[in-house]
Amino acid sequence: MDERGRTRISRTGLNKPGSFLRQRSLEDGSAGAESAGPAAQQPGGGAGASAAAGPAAVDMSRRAPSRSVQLTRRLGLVIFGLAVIALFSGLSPGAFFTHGTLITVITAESIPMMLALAVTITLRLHDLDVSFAAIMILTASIAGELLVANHVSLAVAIIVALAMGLLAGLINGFLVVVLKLSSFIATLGTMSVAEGLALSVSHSTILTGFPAAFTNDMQNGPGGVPLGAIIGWVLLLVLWLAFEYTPFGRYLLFIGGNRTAAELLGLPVRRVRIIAYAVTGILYAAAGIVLAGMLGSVDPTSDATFLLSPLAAAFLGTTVFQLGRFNAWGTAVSVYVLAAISTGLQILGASAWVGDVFEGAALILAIALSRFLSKSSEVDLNL
Amino acid sequence: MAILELDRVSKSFDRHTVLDARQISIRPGYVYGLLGANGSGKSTLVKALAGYHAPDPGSAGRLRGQPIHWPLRTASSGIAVVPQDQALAVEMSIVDNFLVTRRRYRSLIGRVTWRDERGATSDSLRRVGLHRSPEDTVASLTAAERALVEIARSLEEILLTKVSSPLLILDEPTANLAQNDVERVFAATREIADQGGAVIIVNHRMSEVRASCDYLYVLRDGQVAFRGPGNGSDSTEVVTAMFGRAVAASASRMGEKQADPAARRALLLRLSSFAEMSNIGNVDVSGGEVVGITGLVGMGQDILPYQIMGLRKRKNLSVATHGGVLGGGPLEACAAGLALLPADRPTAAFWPAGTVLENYTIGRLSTSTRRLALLSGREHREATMRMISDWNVQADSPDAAMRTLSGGNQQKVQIARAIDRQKCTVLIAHEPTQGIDVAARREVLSALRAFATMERAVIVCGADYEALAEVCDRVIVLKKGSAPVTLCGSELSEESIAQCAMDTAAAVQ
Repeated sequence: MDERGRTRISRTGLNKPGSFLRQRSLEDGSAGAESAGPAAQQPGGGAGASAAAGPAAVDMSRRAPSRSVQLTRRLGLVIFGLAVIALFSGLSPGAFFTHGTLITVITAESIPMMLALAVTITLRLHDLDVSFAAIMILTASIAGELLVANHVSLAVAIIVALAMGLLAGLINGFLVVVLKLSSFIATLGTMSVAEGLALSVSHSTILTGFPAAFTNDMQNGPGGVPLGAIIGWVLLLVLWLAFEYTPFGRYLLFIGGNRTAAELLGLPVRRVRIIAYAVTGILYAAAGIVLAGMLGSVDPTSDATFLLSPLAAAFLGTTVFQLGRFNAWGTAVSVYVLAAISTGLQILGASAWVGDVFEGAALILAIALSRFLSKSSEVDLNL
Repeated sequence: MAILELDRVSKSFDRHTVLDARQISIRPGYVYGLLGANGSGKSTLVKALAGYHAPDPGSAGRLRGQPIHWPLRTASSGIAVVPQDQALAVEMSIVDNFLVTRRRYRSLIGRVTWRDERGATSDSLRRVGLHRSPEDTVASLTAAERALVEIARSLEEILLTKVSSPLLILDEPTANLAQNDVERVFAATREIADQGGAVIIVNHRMSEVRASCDYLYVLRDGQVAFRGPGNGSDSTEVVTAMFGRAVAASASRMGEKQADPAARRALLLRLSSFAEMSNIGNVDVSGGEVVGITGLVGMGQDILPYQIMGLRKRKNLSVATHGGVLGGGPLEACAAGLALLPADRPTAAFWPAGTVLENYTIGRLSTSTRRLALLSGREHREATMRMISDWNVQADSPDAAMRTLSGGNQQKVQIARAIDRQKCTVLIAHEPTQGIDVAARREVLSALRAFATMERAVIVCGADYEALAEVCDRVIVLKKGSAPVTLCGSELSEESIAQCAMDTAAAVQ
């Protein structure tokens, strides 16, 4: 592999300190290396909270007359997020509650945001798709290889990557819907296949040397907010509308809530499920393109870095706004709340290993919380 | 001396008395039959004897001469209940299944002494007339042999307590058995009685029980409505005792029934050669009809609705509508105008955590708006509010979770949702009256009746004979090993359906 003049890497070599690397490389691209440790949170949480007010209000009017207790339960996570911001602002005055930290967090969370939103689609079906990170890295590797080694045009590379994402999603859909395999086990398989293909495509090297125009576009945007983060927010709005105001979004929940009933009612269960998997595949690929542009490099073994926090955010999202339901705004707020905590810990000087421990603990806590707050088995998946 | 003498045993739930039986006497050497319709208190009595319920104060009796102290302690009472569903590990051997409840023959270090275990198992099997090796797997046994294994295991459990005369209660032991298998099970009960024990068989199939039991107790409304020797009792008398009304034939019918069955009406659905358990022959369902399909437990009327819809494999069933023979799943059946009201509403009809609005409007999402249009919240809310008031549904608001509604209210929502569908021409209701209160029952039945206008029909599958007699134009009673019987017109009554269904075995003999 070295004949290509790239650094050969081992799988384990870059996996462990993944989140740390992600942090650093994103900072290089955004506000400047100074704020390496300190990542910002205040407006991150603030954005989540203010954005949350809209759908929460909609939701409240849609629901039965609700008491303040119910309101508190629905908005508990938002309140908690604000408390976290206040706490870390107090503990690290001048480091946490800054514009630089805000931009850093928004930048760093754009990939988890896109993945968490995409995985929310299949979670609404009560299916668990764990192949998202691996498919994202595979499509990013394909785009990178095309751009760097084959010098194809950016548009072609993006189209090919999206097509590969669609194909991967359709394969997942075929396995789960047509062959009726357990979604978790089937996507565990496709995850490993995608990981291997990513290594093959990239010849086990970190792909670098993306066109500067591409990376510059992705890393910059209006008001210093990178384009990648804005793409995530647009996706949030689109999914929110699709979930709440289209038959498709309602079908996802109904099929997830009771597939037998959906079938007996004559709903297009198979079509909806396959479309859901196809769409998520495309979204994973979109996240891969954003990743390549924002990092300016693709590490074909870095998928594990992106595995836990999107799932944790999606599950935590069921504890806010629409209790017991996977919903777009809940997922988005959860992404930023989790980011606020991990960033705060980093600023306080926590060691690198704390990040991994936090991610795992957050996932477990998120699932436990969603279970207890919704007071039903509504969030149990069809595994 | 009698094993068990109950002067009085009563049980109330929420001040509602479900059981108040007097003077029941069980003697060694006899096989007893316990009959009763649904809700007669039959299973409450069995549960009281199993030690599961503590009867109300005032209940008194003697067990082997000693006054009973409620609740009965199963370990020492010498009474065992063999449940209906077989609690056997199918992939394991017979002796393994015995070891689940027995752990006696152990060597000093706690190792299982297989030779002794096998010997004891063989003895127990022989006690019920089953000559199989203890090494055989349960999977290799027939349904009757499995039932015998369970009986043998329960009997052995009692005998281990060293009581003089065991009492075995078999809860619907023959529900899933073919005729010659039924005889094997009854032969085993006779064997137990001959060895000095007593057996109570809880059963639906009256003709079987009459032939095989020495003495019958019939419960109705919690009381003993009939007692008498098995062979000497008149079957009409027993059925009357079970259902309480000898005059069921004159029970009020609902609405306007089809006056002239021969009148030319649109043929909507044809079912043919259904042979899961029994043969349905050909059933034609025409516009304006309400057709009932019933039979004893396990005759196939409980899976038929799901086979018609294509949710379960149709096997030998052919379902034809005006569009041709159905070959696909529920999507195709719904498109062909069929709709199903499942009996098990939480698992097959609703998204239980969803709201009433979401569950009610799910079927109209794609029809009421253009494909890509956004959902109209106001339109759906108004439709749901209208449905709630039209059907008198007890719900806090359209946003109440579906699972918080009572069974009757859920059923109303389900019917309203099915009726809403313009395309729906044949409504298939599976046990539509199950788990709902009396008032809702009336509304549900009249809604079904009203649905069957000129070009629409209803099929009711289930075992609520009273409801079937009330709402159906004709009722098809499925029978094992013989052609189904169709009851219609003046011969259609709750009693005639019951008699026809229960005389299944007699028809074979």
